[in-house]
Amino acid sequence: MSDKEEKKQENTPVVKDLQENIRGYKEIFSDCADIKMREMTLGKEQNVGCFVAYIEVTGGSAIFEKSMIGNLLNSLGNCSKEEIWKRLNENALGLSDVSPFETMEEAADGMLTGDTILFVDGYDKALKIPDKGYPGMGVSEADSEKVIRGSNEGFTDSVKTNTALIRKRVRSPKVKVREIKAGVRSKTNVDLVYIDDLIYPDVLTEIERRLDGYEIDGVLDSGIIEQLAEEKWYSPFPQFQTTQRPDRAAMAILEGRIVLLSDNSPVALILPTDYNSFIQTSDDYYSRWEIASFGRMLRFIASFFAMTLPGLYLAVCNFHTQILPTTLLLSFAAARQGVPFPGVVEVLLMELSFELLREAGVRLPGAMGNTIGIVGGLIIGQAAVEANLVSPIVVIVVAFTALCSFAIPNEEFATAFRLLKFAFIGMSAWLGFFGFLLTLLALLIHLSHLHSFGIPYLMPFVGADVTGYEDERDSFVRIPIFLLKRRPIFAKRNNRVKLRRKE
Amino acid sequence: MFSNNQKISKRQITRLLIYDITGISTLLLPAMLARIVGKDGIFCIFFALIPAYLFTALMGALQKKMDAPYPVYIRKKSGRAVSSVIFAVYYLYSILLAGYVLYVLSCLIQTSLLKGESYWLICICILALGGYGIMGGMEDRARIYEILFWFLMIPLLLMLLLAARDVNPDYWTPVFSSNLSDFAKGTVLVFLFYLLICFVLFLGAFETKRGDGIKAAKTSLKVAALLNGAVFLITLGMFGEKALQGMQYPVITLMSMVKLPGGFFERQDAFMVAIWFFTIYALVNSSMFYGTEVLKHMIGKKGKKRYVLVTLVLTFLAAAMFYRSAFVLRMGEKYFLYIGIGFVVLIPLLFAIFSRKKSGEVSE
Repeated sequence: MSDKEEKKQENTPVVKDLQENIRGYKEIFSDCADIKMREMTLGKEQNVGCFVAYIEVTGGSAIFEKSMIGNLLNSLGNCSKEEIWKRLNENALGLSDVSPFETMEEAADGMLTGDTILFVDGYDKALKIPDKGYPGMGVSEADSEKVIRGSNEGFTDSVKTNTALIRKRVRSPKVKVREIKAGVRSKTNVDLVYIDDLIYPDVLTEIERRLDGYEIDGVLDSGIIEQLAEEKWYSPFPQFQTTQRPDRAAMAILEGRIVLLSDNSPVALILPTDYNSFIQTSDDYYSRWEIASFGRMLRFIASFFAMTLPGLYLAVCNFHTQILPTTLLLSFAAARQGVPFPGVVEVLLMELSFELLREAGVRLPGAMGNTIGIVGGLIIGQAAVEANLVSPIVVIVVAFTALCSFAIPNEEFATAFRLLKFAFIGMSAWLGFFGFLLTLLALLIHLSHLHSFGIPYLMPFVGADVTGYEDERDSFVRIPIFLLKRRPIFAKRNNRVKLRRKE
Repeated sequence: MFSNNQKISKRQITRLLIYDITGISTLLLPAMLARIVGKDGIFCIFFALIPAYLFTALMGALQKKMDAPYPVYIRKKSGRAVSSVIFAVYYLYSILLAGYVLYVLSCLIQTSLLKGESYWLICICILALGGYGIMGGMEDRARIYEILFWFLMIPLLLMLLLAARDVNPDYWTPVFSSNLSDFAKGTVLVFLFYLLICFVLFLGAFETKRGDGIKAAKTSLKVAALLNGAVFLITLGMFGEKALQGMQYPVITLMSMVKLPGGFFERQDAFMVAIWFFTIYALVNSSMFYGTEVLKHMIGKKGKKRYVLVTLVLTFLAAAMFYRSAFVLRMGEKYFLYIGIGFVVLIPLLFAIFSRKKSGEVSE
């Protein structure tokens, strides 16, 4: 269809003549075998025609009589023609979910959300009546972000279910849900969930502006929105936090942040975000402060080593051997005996092999994915050492680096470290510890330039005096929960108190 | 909402200034003082605080009179022609300082970490990062140093503490053995390093609260004096006066001698060079940043990138000249000691004396 014809069709009004409506609707959904359309008659004298359209899987004749549309049709079955129109006009049946549409296009869009459309002869509106909806997975355990303590519920593919999962946890009328349609053809429902009196309105305005800034065919996952809406696309660091956990999302809105939910995506986006947010986990707040603090420190250190350990190893072993004690140096040298490759090639070989194993493990289904870890780790690593292709110390370094990257709770955040690791390897191999320092400094400069909706990425380690050093209490360590009285920087300045002791 | 308004807090200014002063001073001062004034160098370090605090008071008095950021104030008070000359003086000082410090840092890296590597490669790498660092503005610069502060200070203090165990106090005596002229030279030398707080005047436009820069300058001077005093005493106590005079970077040599308990590392001087790498880089970055700001006001046209590029090129040329010619190096050091110090003190002094106080807020 040409653009002109599409434009002409944009505002086709629903008319009182049922047959014309039927013709128009069938034209819109020509060659759509999954769309079911039925003509029926209503009224005491069966003289009022009506037309029902639905997507086959979302409604069905088996449950038609038990569904809302079935009940509606039954209730109109004993009315006269004029009564039918009156009831429809006044929504006397009290079906609050029923939405009237005045154009064919709106009716088509309404049906494509998974509901049923009803046209009645003599009535100039189409009615959208809620139905079973599209099939989807139910609420199940989150795949990632495993916790020791806390709920195991994860988001689903349905934005409505996900919104409900958040509302279940924050039962306040101040929780607002703003719905936007993204994708010209996909018309994906995108919900922005936030607490009205906690957020900075500028942040909401900004995300809406960014969402409106693109016209794209289809939004099939929140990842597409994330990439379109982020400010610094070239940065390896994500500027939105992602989560599959409703409790994490609920915690975020209580901090004054906004959660973006996209239909057909179990991954929610949280904004604004900072480095510290990516290291925090939900069970940091469910567990006692000592173990929570220990876990945090471990993760921060792990995030550093996940990126720098191979580079440091190369810098020390190739350029600054004087750092190591002689016995250790001799041990390294003995381990490298017979290895034909330079250190950097060894490290790159093992790192790339590991990345390959990781990728293969993700793509393989179920049990095979677990097996590949054992095959790769034990057999390939062992075989490579015995064949003198790599030294055992490199295997240890690479394995430890991998462990450190697994300790980072957020997968997208960990990806940045996985990629930057290669920059450290390259620079350290070239310029030793100086190369390492250059890369570290470049990284720090980059992070200092990075913002997420106005919040510096390095908060609360920088500019901490803005919040009276309160945010620092929940960063590297987590102080006892009764001392965490204030919300972080994300929340509106005059509404930061979240905990008070009752006198 | 956190606004990216290029304003920095007192804490950030303090840390910036501490880096600027202590990085280069702890590296170079011990040997320089040992050569000029011997064991009495410790007194020079603290005596030089007097003119430094006087200069801080002068800057404070001038800041109270200013109703605009310093470069704008200069332009308003002295007219286009004279202000251009003043800007040129400041720009020259910034470029030569940046070039000299870049030269020192490149030599340090070359001798400590990358023996035999090309000086030019090291210089260009640091300069490139310097350019990248300036592009984000004052707030972004301040964040880097704010986050690094304790990561650098704690290892340094720990190492000094461990080194103090092996100090021989006999090397500290006899004191008051130098003559007045040498003592004055030593004090002036230390004051030259403390004078790096002169950039506080340019910080006026970036302060969250007026007067933060002056307070930060006073704190950073105290910290610098204490750190330099500790480093001087420990290096003197470890090596003695004669050996100290002949060393290029005594504090780095000191780091190589300190034994960490546990024996995991044999030597940690390579790791400890990171402290001077970050602190001296901070000074290179600061000098280039303020130089760029001055150039912007001097020329008066928009477009940050071209000013940064010009500054980078000139800084590289300065560093190249210092490296290639011992004569230029000596002249450069004399410039700082006799001319630069004079201008940097004289310009604000003249404005403080001859300009009237204006009412109203500082405008941008």
